[in-house]
Amino acid sequence: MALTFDQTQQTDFDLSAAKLLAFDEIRKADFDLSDEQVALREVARKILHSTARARAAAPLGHDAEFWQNLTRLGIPALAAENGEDADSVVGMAEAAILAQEIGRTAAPAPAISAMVAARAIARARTFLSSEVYEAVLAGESVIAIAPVRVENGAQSLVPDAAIADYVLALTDDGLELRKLTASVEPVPNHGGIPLGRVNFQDTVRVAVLSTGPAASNAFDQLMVEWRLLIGAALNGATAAALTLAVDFAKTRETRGIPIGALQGISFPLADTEVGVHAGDRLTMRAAWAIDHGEPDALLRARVAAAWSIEHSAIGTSVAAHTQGGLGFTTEADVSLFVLRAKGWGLIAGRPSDDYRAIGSALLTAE
Amino acid sequence: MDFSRIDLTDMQRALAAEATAVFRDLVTEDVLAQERETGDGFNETVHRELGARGWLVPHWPVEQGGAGFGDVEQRIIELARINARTPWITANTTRMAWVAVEQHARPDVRDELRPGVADGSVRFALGYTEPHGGSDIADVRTRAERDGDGWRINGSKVFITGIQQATHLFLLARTGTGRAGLTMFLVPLPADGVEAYPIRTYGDERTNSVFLDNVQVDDRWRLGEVGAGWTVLSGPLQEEHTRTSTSSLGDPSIGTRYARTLGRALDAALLYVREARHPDGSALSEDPVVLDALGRVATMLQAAVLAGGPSGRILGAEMTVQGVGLLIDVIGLPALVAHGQSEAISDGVLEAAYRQAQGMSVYGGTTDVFRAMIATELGLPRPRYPDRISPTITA
Repeated sequence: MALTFDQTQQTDFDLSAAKLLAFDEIRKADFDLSDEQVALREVARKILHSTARARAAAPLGHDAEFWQNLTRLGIPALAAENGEDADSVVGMAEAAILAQEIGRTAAPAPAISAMVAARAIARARTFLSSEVYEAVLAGESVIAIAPVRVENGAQSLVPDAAIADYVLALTDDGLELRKLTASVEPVPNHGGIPLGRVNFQDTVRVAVLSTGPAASNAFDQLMVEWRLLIGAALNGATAAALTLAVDFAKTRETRGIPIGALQGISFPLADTEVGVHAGDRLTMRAAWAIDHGEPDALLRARVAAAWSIEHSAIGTSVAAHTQGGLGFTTEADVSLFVLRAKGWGLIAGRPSDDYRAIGSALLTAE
Repeated sequence: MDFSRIDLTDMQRALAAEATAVFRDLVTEDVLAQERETGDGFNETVHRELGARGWLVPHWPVEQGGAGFGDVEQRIIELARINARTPWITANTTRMAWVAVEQHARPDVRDELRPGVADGSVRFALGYTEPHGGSDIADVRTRAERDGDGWRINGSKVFITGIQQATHLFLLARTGTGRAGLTMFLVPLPADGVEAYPIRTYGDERTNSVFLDNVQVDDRWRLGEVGAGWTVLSGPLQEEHTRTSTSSLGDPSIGTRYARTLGRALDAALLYVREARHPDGSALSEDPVVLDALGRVATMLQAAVLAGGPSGRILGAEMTVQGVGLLIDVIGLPALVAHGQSEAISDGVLEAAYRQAQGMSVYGGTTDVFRAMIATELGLPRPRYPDRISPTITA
């Protein structure tokens, strides 16, 4: 029973002040990662230690051998483990940790979409043959995700399609896993991803994971999870850009002092850190909510994604600006992050759509 | 990570119900009206009643005048207190200064004051800020000079909130040069030579400028060693900058105390938007501009209440300023109608929140002090300007 005492202002969602003040919402607030999660992050950092691969993999944005190595980290399987309930899937926290490291080095690998697709497929695992399911979990096949509903077998721009074997799409028949039967030409883009134009008539159905309203819900969920992980990656990318900017500001001098001694330089960098820190906290709080089946989990994920995507575009731009003209060159590492902050941020839908969805959800709460 | 909800025991639920009733009965419409009018941040009746229950310092043992409450019970009292909009500024400044008094006062002074802190008869106002400088606390010019067995204090302070209801002024004064020349005192009030003049903020608060003219203070009221003022001050400052509650279940963000105002504004906006229509008859609840603003504000609120450390301080203040402004912009003129008018939205919450928000970025050190802390944590060099302002000319 909710013991909210101001009945005129009660809403059900944790996001409003009434919930902050309600007694049945006294919660712990422990952000510390478990030992296993810390270990996972350390291993990921060792493997994903350099931006060199990002450059080498340009313009396509895929390093097949590197992707194979990454799958040995457990991607995507550890993002899609069976939960306590029959149809629950856990591993979002681990996925967020990995995604952040992917972003920190602008890693050219379809890890995020692999984790999102694996989770969607795991939630509907009774609809797949075990061979396909095992292959998906092992990362042996690359799965692209169509970010918009596909009407009448039409064409659409699909991230990762240029290197994918399968595509997960919401079609007139439901949420489907389809095999790509024709090669897909890469479409150049400034996000550095293997974007491709898929003609859905050149695909063959492998399985229908769900139909009707259930399919729409499943699609909404996977899209929100996708944006959450993109946000996590961009928090990592912004943190990396910030490190580059701070290092530059410590050594670059003007008139005998390091430029970082000027608050006009240091304060925007402090603001960038605020954006990354808040993005990280919002992301992990949402990931925990998803893993624990909380009713407001997807709403929290939208909040985290919207914040992280918006603030990473600002923060990477500030980081590039700090390096002046040098930050504007293709050889500056910050260039990898600036362009991806905008490019990756748009892969899974318009960031501003999340704000409207959050607003609607708050209005319709009981 | 662990964000699990605490399941309340039957006794805790009973306490929650009791606390709701107690605060509702204490913080009446009259109390709220008086607070709006005076901006005192304190109500004597409320304060003493809470003191009698041990609820001013619920974490203290019962023998010391507290309630002996654990983390969950403390959080319950805290939430009930906040939800009732209990005037709480002087309770806060007393709690903060007590940290220093407990550590640095002479034992007899400490023992003398402790029961009064618990029952509400002893109250402290903070005397750091001076007219020429706020954030640079070490640049104190109020002087304390030896005078027989005691001290004679001269100077002026500003933004000394709550001195009108304080029994003691927690005063930082200069006894020597530099940062090692500061000494902390607790000046019993009223005192000859201490005069306070009210200052009103447009956030409905009252604060004061204070003049000290040959104020005599016995040496027993010195806190800590002569010249150790900065160390004595650090305890309360640290408390303010890091802890949000005596309970381990307190807010993770030190900005939540400000962001709650944004939360209330958002709730008021949601109630209004659900029913309201534009002049053309269309519903605000279907207006994408309004939906976008509500979503943005909810996001800003969540960022502010989850962020830790200096980030929480900055976001708590600045998201509230921006967020309330955004809500007002999409609702329009009705959002600016104040309490008491028939058109006021949720009793004027939005317009009050906007006025209150402006001060949030300066309480206890401006948000730029916290940006400077983050800059230091990032490894950036100490702030300074070049020695020469003209460009270098090389031969």
